[in-house]
Amino acid sequence: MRILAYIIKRVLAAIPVLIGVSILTFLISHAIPGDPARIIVGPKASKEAVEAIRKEHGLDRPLPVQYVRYMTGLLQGDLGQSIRNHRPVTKDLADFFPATLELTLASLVLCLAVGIPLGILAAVRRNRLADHVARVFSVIGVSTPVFWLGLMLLLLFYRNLGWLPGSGRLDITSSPPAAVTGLYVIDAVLARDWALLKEVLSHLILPAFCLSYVYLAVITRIVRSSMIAVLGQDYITTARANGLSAARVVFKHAFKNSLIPTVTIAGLSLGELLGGAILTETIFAWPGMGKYVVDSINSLDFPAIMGFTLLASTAYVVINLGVDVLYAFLNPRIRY
Amino acid sequence: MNAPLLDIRDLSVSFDTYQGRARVLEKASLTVNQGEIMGLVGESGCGKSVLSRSVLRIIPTPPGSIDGGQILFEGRDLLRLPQGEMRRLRGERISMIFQEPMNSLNPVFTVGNQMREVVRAHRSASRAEATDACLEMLDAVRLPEPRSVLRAFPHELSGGMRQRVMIAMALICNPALLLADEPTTALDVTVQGQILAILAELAGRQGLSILFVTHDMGVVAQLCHRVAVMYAGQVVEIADVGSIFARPAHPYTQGLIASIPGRVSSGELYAIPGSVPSPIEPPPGCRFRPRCPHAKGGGCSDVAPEMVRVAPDHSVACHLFTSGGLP
Repeated sequence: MRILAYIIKRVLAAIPVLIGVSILTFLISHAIPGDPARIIVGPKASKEAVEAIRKEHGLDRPLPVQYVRYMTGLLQGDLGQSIRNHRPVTKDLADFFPATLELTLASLVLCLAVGIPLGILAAVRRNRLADHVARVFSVIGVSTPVFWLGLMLLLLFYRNLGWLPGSGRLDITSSPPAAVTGLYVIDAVLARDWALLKEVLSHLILPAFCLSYVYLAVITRIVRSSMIAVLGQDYITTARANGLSAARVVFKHAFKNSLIPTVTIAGLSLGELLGGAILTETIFAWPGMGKYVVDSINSLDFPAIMGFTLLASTAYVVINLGVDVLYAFLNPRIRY
Repeated sequence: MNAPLLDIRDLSVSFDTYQGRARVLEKASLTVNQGEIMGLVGESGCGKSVLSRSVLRIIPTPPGSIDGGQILFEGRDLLRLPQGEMRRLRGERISMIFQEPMNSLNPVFTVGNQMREVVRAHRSASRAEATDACLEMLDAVRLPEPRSVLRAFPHELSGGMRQRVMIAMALICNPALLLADEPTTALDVTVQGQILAILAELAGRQGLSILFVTHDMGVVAQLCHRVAVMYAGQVVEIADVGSIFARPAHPYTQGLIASIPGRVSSGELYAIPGSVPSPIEPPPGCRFRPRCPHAKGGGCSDVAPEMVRVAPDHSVACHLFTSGGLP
């Protein structure tokens, strides 16, 4: 119950954060030199045409008025209309965000599913072969630029070996599963279309690995070092002295304690994965937020920039809340 | 007389350090008899904790390694037991409690979770049966409201309560031998007295033998039947507790006894001059020689003294007592 009250408190506390984000984003995007109306009509259009566009989009009103109008719309679920393509921003986000989210979540799953076992192995077999292999793997991970890694993966698995597709979320000839969540993996499972699921996964694996490798390496190192610290604690000696098996000592007694720093890093990584997907999306022609946002910034598409920023900051807030709640479950000494 | 329950013979243990190989135990020998409380005293770093941990084979390897000797427990050499059998012995036949009750329980699991786990690691018991065993044991260490203790996390208990939980957990499978590694050092004096009383009572009731590691001669006098004195990785004197205090034979033991506050009423505290030698390059011959008031050249600095019997239940490793004697 205490946890529930805590969650409610945190959600309420997120509101001023998001309002602050909206004001800042609004101010910054309007302070950038450049005239969106001019960009829409082109450099050779007449002054009148520019004025007309300005009026049409409300860009001639004072900034506070524009902000209030924007926020009023936001509360009604309306993020405005994109200046660039005249579509509602909510619709654009709904189209592009799930692709990015799917890529990000897949990367996180890879990070945890590979990073945690690898980190544990490295800690338990410290300074032996497995540890050295994990170390080399991590050092390569943190020092390889994403764009280069992406190109090499494509070269190897797509062009030379031909094992995996090179671009997009699906083959050009396939149509996506019935949209429930917008995440193709989940939608394909819901539709029980296993052939499609296989196709979706084969498209997902390369970009997900490419995006995750840096964080995978970081998580491996964090798990290793926190495991080593925990394995030296007195209660680990107690557990061994009480005749518990090595597996129980490592996977129950040490693991839960070592998860506390790991969760922090995983939460931060998830936020960065979400924001860092742009390069990966470009290399693998992944139809996600990355390209959409870059195009929006280039054409000073305020509503689109605002919409994306608010969505991304909401995601950060939710992730942080999730991390804090997980702490309370992992560490009984934390009480809210 | 029956064979001793625990018979440690010539145990040598070393640790790899950056400065070199530290020979932390050098041919240390002692015995613990059935139902006996054996004290193991010595100053910090003399190897007493390593010795007690070696019995359970829980010193970290690497950097540690057991280089030689035997640890006979109920007639079997523990150093030759396969891992699986050694694991079954831990907590079941031989248990251990530690100095720091603050850190000896896992902070993220409840006391009940950890105690039940020990029961179920050694015998097939339902959750309810395990809980009953835990409650009974918590009651035996005189913890009030054992049910709420089971539900508590370690940080919700005081140091004394945690140490009682540790004792309950160690004795829950009714072991024959308890290794107590300075279990009262971190507690304040009144709690210390209670813990000692509980240990003495349970030892008497369950026929438990205890190897009690401490640097507190007062605790030794209060609790132990016999004492082994360690210095720089070697056992230098073993005697019944009365003889140790009345007729300490080894110069080091004499120094230890003289250092107990309040025994000599001169007002000034006595301290043994010098400090413990490095275990990496121990002095040749007798390791206590550099600090010994009776040290002489020749024998003391060349030959390590052997254990000799000076009374029926009193042995000492010092050249003052070796058969040839000193020139």
